[in-house]
Amino acid sequence: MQKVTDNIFLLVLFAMVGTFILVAAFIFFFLKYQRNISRQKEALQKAELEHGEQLLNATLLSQEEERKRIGRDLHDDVGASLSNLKMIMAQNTDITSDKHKPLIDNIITTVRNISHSLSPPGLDLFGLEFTLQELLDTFNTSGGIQVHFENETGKKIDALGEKTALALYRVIQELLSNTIKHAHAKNVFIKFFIANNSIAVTYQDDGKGLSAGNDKKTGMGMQNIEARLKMIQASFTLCTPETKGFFITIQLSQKSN
Amino acid sequence: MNSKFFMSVLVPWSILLPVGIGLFKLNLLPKNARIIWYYLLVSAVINFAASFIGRRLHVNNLPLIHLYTAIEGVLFCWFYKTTLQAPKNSLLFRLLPVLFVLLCIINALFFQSIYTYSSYTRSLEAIMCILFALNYFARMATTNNSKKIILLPAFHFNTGIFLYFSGAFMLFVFSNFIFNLSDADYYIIWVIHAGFVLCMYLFFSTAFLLCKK
Repeated sequence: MQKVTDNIFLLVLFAMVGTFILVAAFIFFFLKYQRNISRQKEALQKAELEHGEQLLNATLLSQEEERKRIGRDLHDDVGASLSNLKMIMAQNTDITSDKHKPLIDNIITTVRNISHSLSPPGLDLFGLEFTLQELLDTFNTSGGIQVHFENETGKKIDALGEKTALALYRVIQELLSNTIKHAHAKNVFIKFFIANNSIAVTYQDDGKGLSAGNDKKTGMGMQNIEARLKMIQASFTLCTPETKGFFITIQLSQKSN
Repeated sequence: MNSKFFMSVLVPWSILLPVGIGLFKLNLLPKNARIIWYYLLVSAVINFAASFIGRRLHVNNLPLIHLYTAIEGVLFCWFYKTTLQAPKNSLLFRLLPVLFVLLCIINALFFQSIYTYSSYTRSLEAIMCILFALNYFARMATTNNSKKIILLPAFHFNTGIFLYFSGAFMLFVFSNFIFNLSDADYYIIWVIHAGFVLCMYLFFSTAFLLCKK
């Protein structure tokens, strides 16, 4: 048998260094593989999130379209029919028609109010300031709450795109509804101003505010507000629970304008 | 750098780096990190004792390696039991440390004298740790981690152990053969081993730094 003359020193040296390099390479490729996997996961999550946002946007837009259609139908069809009925009854001089006139007037007013709340009619024609003013007037005349409105943006508020203006209108409508339902406030202060080269809005009431235990952030109303603001790429900051009353700042971005 | 300084000063004293970081963050260390910290303490004490016995007293210090192997094996079993989240009553993790200590005793009594290198048990321990480390990587590859793997302390502990035991495995296997090599060759192999040890300590230090509440 041939004698083995291999150098044990070299064999051990090669084995040690070789194994070390092999293991180091294994760890390196394992990390690379993990990084690729996590990148793919992130991309998938991002795509899912974007898809979710697109779905939400589409839902909100179709909701607005539907509201507009119902509002228009109520105003044009039901409202017009009621007005016709009122005219026909005015031509009849019997006593029963006089008894029913106030009732029909009341129905016409209700239909108009519903129609307006479903689709603010002045938004396209007169802009956001006028439409908001009209909305706030209905609250002020009801007597329960006093809404103070201030616009420091001049005509910029009316230059907002239809989507943005409608979203802001809906947000303020929702906030007012929340104030009336939960805050027991007497006054509401709404202010439009310019911050960071863009329009910002503050909404404040003197009600009981958000308490730590009463998490309004997760309520349907707040979710709705969040979704609408996200749709127009606006951000918002809520008051801390320690602050008196409810306070929210909405900041539109350059993209929302 | 002088290789003597590297092997007898820098590497032995470098253990103070992970021990120091671990001590600084002791309250923040999870259970598996604490086990590694205990291991480093035991390792530091035994290594310094071995160095003192060998260099100052000129007495064969190899009995200490038999003791060290048994303690190290048990501590790594415990570490992987925690890291791999084995069930409390896991038969493998209950039997393995006991079996390993028994094997160390049997080896010292009947196979390899305590005055020779415990190459059998040390190699066995290396295989055990390599398998545990591979198991950890397999789990990492198949589980969903919300955190980046590179930020996990356990990953760095495992990498340190895996690199060290894989690199040093052949040395453990042939440790009693290389006694016959020339002093220069013998020295080179142990310098490389010291490099692997330093690498493991650096990974342990990084892992301790990454430990958060």
